[in-house]
Amino acid sequence: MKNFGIALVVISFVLFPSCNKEKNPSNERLIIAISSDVESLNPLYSFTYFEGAVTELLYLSLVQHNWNYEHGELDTSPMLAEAYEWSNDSSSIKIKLRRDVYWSDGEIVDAGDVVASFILYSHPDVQSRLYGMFKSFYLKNDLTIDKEKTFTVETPFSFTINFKEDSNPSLMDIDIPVLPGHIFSAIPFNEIAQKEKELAPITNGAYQLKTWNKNQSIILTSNKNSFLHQTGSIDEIVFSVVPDYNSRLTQLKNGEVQLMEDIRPDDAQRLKTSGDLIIAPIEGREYDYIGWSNIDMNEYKKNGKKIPHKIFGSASVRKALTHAINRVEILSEYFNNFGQIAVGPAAPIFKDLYNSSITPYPFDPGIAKQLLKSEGWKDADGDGILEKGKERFLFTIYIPSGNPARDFASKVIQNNLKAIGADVKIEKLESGVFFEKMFNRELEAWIAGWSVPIPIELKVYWHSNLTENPLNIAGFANEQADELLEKLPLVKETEIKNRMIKDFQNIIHQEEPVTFLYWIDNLTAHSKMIEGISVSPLGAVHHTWKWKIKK
Amino acid sequence: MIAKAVIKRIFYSLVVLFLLITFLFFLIRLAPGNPADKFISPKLNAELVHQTENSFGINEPLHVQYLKFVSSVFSGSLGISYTYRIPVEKVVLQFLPFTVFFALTSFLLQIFCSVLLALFSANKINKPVDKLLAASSLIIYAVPSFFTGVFLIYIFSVQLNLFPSSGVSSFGNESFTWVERLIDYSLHLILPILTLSLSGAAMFYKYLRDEIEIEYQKPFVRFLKSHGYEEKVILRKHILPNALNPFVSVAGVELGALLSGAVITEVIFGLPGMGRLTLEAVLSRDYPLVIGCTLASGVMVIAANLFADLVKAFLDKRTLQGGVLQ
Repeated sequence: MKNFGIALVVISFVLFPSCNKEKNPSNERLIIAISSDVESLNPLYSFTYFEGAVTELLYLSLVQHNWNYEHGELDTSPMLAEAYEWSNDSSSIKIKLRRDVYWSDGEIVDAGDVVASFILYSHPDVQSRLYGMFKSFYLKNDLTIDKEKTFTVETPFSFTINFKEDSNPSLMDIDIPVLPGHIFSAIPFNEIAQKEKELAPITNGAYQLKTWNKNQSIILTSNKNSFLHQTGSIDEIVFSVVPDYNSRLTQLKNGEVQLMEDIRPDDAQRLKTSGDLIIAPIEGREYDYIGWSNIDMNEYKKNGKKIPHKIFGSASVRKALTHAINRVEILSEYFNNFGQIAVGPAAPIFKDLYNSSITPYPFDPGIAKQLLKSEGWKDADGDGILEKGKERFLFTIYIPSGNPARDFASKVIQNNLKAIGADVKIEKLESGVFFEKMFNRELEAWIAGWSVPIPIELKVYWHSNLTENPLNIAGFANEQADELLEKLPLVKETEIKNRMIKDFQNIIHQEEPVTFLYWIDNLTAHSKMIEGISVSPLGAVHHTWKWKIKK
Repeated sequence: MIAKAVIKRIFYSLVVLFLLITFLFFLIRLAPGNPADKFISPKLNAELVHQTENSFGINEPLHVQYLKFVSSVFSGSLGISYTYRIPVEKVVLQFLPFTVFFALTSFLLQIFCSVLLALFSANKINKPVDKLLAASSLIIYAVPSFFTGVFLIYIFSVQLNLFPSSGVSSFGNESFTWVERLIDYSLHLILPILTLSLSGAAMFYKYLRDEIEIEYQKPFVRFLKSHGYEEKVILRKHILPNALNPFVSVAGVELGALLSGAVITEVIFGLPGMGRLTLEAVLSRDYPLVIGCTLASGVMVIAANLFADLVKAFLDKRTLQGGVLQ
């Protein structure tokens, strides 16, 4: 018995290396660590970044994008569309499809699939992620795209999309992953969401689904028949679900995974010294800010009246608060300078529209005190806290739990504000609770962040019509800003548009509706073995079919 | 008699389960947070936002939602998961088998190790080796599982490169032979099972060892010894049955807890179990799935305790009269 036990142990140890194959990934496989599983592989329902990254590999869109570093904007080029041509007045676009693209069930991809896809994405019964977004199209009352008015199918591989009069369409309007119309037309629209999991995905992209082990991994194999396939393209891409951050990091260091995003700045600094990894930041897509209620939210919710908030209603007070906060310290101490100070909602990555003449408000408690004094805030009773009449300069800043960066920042901010005579409490809320309260305008001061869409979107965040623009949570209102935001969608000339956005940034800087803290780099690390990877504002996992593994 | 008691117990358990999910139904809906949030684009206007929220049925009065929920439960459906968009039963059944296997393996390992060590200690009560084991078990029990998990990964995955640090199988294990696949699964599960089992084994050991010590000090043991009974016989026939009774009660509770999911171990090692599923359902406010997970956990806890009571009845028939199963 004793000998049997010893033999078992010896056999096991001999077998260990042969089975532990993922420690030495083959050249044909690339493993990307993700923190949580995707909920859907259907682009109709791909809400998250990684869902988008996976579906980009499975389904082709009419057009594709690259990041133009010179101008800081998208370069769009044909993909499933072989060519496209705008009409003179930009009211329609004629699209010629590639004739060499097939669905994984052998059917050819044609104009019928494209038309069916637009209808699917826009139909209310489907409940797709893009429902309500087709504002440049002719729509029916239920917001479904009007097929007859919108599409003119000339041949199976050539069709025209006609846009609504007075709209300002762009290639972004036709950038949807195309779905297999012949599969989805057989399913009642209101059952698609539930039947999705029962259907084997029929795809047309550069990769095909091999296996999807829930909460474990998604394995994609190269579609060698795709026109995107190149000699040396990676055979298998694995999205490995590793929920624990430290486990992901361990696997990255260990070589078990070759790419990971959202690395903490401290770890990035340490990983920099590793000879096998490259640290690459995804710049300028996310910023953190301190939200100040510009208006009395209770009054607004009760009577719809916009009365300036007793503390944060004044632009001078908001500017004083920004002057009082040492953003440089937070950026260097916590983020190891992986980011940059923010001055407004336009990211510096949008080079042509970013107003580089605006300089950040410097950390200067002296200026902060002066500004507050000019607004009537004085420490009359000598207790270290400012007062204005009977009103004391005290408030609570709410932060969502589970965010170490905001946790750190809140402590610095609390100390900084105390130094100018503000009695600030910091309160953490569970993230679900926090965001509900924030969106319901129940918080008077909070730290949160926005991820900036490409192309840039400003109206929903800053227009004073709070009913139509629910993301203007601070309740910022400025007539000039409103005018610019209303005109922007109608302007077709890029230069004029960019100038207007720069003017808008000036207004925001003068009003300082919130304290813009910093643009945060999403730090990614990837193996040096990966060739052809381009970490841009569009993400790290992008156009993966162009990647190769060094032999 | 046992059958009648078991049926009665199951009936009461069902009532308790129903009360539990009713309580949870109201609790989770009263908690802040909105399941529709992640499906609402910032570009949607207020009317469309409202329309999207309505599709989740969360704008209806609470009592209407509850009546719909009850009628749905009695018709055998727990609803559709908001995130998985398939019936809750199907989602739970995807994750439950792993949890049952993982929990039972860990439980058996805990019982095996603890009984073995307790019997070993029984012959050496208050000797140095017994004291060493007692102290070690206390330390192991006190170490939180997240620390144990990370420590084991550091030693066995990072330093020694012996075991994988995450997942239940290697990528591409479809190409393995069945023996390789079996070893592959085992290699992936050794560290998680150890993480989950160590503190439980230490607790069981301490419990059983102390019970044995208490039994040893009872007068009937001295009586049996004075009448020339062998130590082994006394231990097996008289001490162990008495010492096992409270031990089995604790084991039932532990088994129920394990079957409900081991969220920390599952997160650290990236395992697809009920603990992680429940946590994700709560965080995403997936109301039907939270109820489904709770129901599954409730059934597991009740079944484990019922099983423990049956084992106790088997060990000591007096419990049937005493009301354990009544």
